[in-house]
Amino acid sequence: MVRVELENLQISDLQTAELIQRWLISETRWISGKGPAALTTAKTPDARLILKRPTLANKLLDLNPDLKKPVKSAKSQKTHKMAWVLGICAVVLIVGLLAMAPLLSGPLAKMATDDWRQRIGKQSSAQIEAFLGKSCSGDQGQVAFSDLARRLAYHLPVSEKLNVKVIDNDMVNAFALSGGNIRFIRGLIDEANDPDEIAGVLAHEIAHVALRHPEELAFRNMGYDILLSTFADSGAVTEVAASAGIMLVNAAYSREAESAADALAFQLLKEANISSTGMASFFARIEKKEGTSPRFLKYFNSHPATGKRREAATAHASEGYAALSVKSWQALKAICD
Amino acid sequence: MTEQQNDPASDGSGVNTIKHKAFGDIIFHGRAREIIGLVFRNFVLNIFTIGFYRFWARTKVRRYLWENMYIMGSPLEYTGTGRELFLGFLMIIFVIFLPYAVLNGFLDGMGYLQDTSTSFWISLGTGAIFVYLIGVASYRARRYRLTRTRWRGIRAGQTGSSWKYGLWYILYTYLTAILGLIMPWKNMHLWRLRTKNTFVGNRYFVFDPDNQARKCLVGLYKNFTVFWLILTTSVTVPVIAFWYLYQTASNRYPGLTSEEAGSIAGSNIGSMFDKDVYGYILLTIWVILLLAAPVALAWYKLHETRALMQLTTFEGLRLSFRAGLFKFLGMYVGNLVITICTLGFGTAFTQVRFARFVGRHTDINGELDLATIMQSDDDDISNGEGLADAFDMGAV
Repeated sequence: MVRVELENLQISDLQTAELIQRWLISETRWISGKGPAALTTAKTPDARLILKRPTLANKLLDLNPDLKKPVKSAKSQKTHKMAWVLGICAVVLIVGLLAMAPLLSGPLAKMATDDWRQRIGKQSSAQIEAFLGKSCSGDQGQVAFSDLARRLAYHLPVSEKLNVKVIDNDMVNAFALSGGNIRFIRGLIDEANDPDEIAGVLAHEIAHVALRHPEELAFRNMGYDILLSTFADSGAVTEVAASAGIMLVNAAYSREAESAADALAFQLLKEANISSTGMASFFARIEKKEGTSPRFLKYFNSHPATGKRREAATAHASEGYAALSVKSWQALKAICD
Repeated sequence: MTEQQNDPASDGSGVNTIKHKAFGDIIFHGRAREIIGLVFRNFVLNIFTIGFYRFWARTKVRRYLWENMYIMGSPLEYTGTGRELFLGFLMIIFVIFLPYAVLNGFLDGMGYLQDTSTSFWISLGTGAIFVYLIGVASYRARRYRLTRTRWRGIRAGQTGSSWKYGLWYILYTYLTAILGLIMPWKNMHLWRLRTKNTFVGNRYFVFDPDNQARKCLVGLYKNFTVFWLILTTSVTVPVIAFWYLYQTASNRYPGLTSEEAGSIAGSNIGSMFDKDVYGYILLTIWVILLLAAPVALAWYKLHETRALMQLTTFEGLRLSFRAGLFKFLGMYVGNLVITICTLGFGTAFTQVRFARFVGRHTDINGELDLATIMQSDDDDISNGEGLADAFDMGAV
């Protein structure tokens, strides 16, 4: 039998009325869910009292508002020190990887083997095709495009095996991928007024390839990926969200990388005897359109401010022959038809 | 620990023997709809912490599940904490996953994984290690949950070596892959290993005290063979159809290479189901088999659960599981639908539904003499294992 006596809970034998235990109500805790109330007390934490009738339990709740507060377990102190050690290790690891990834990715990219570069390139181009569409297969256009790329890359100090393709999508964009893969999106070709503009963008992407920027990006992403796959809940939506965030933040090159690619591109155009005035005019048109056409933002927001680029392009502008013959240019324009 | 402290829970009547009928068997007082708020809160916090909140979230859900689960009138209690789970996770990261990620990155970077035969052996090796570790971790996770479980203030727990359990686990996993028919035997053996190492207070569960296991296993094999035959036939039907078309193609055009004949057979397999009368019959049989396979599996699983529960005893108590096939299927299909519709974030709902299902369909028979159960000797704070038992990978 259980009775409330002043600040105590008296538990006594039903038959003999002999007192079994006396609990201080302020030390009593309610530890069960919605069924009959199960109580325990701080003095004898192993003891349990089950109240079948809710009336007494509710009365106790009035007497002790802390009744439903969780019981503190003694164990948690023991794990305290270990928690600090492991926590610091984790922080060091995270900060280390975050700091090392951009520092190491450059040198690692220079060391990457051709096999590895090709494999990563294949993955990225498959991703682009999955998102944006198939590559175009106009034979003559492809010949003209590959030929232009070969001419531009001819004067590179180290020869590059290039694989250039046009992806059938309205987006105005171009990508340099690992392993010498370059993907133009059709919108960019549609947007261009003359072949020199295409040559300018292509020279820029070839410069990225030659400077191993795509490989650098891949290494950086790998570092973040290790971090994410070790710590985040595997397979959960949160991980997908986080990796999408990393991709967004990290998908573009730094301004320094873009400037370096620009500088090399001017040189390539000059050495290939292709007019680089196209690059300047293209930038000028983009500058006009920027802000009005959101399609442009994605490609150009990490590039050096287009105004400055146009100035640089005009300063470096060299005369030369047209990048493509009229026939080749028409074929390239029609590559996706 | 005195007896009296163990058991004032006999509601003051001074009677130490519980007759289950007076208290009810197993009753779960929770409802899935009650935890909508909790699940939503956990979801939001998980998003903001890129998943790091999951340990605390899981603990909250467990606490709800445990404290609403009444066994013979007394609720279970969960004393685990989110921090313990988090520390266990960090340990796993540093001891296993990080070395693995570094090693894998190194091997990949050095180009070792390019070579198909090397990469085959490496993935075979790491695969085996991971299967083994899954076995070890599941046993440890069970121990963690049990040591953090109390009933009437009495601690539960689990003995036995998790490394040994991992060996059995990997052995059975590969054997099952080779020969599916071993499944009933495997499930009973692993259940036996877990059960006989489980204790409440100073008393252990006993599996199969009167040697009925062999007889039960024979019965289970009858159930399992039905499922196994349906499954193997449903796999064989398309293979036979393909083989038939392949033969026809190579007979008709003798000059074909095996690859060409295969591609013709592959493209014909769809049209065969359209035109041919035999194709229709074959297709119908195949669809029926495909639909029957999960039902047959559920039917087997139901009998397995019944048998294993019946063979499990604790002191004078025996469990019995009464659910019929319809209810059993309903529970699993319902939970599957919930999991899919909530993209996995509704797992807690499925757990509550499962707990209700267990409470509703499980009986406890016999009497329990509470005076014989004492608090377990080793207090889990001082057992020196520290964090080892926090290796928790379980989903519950």
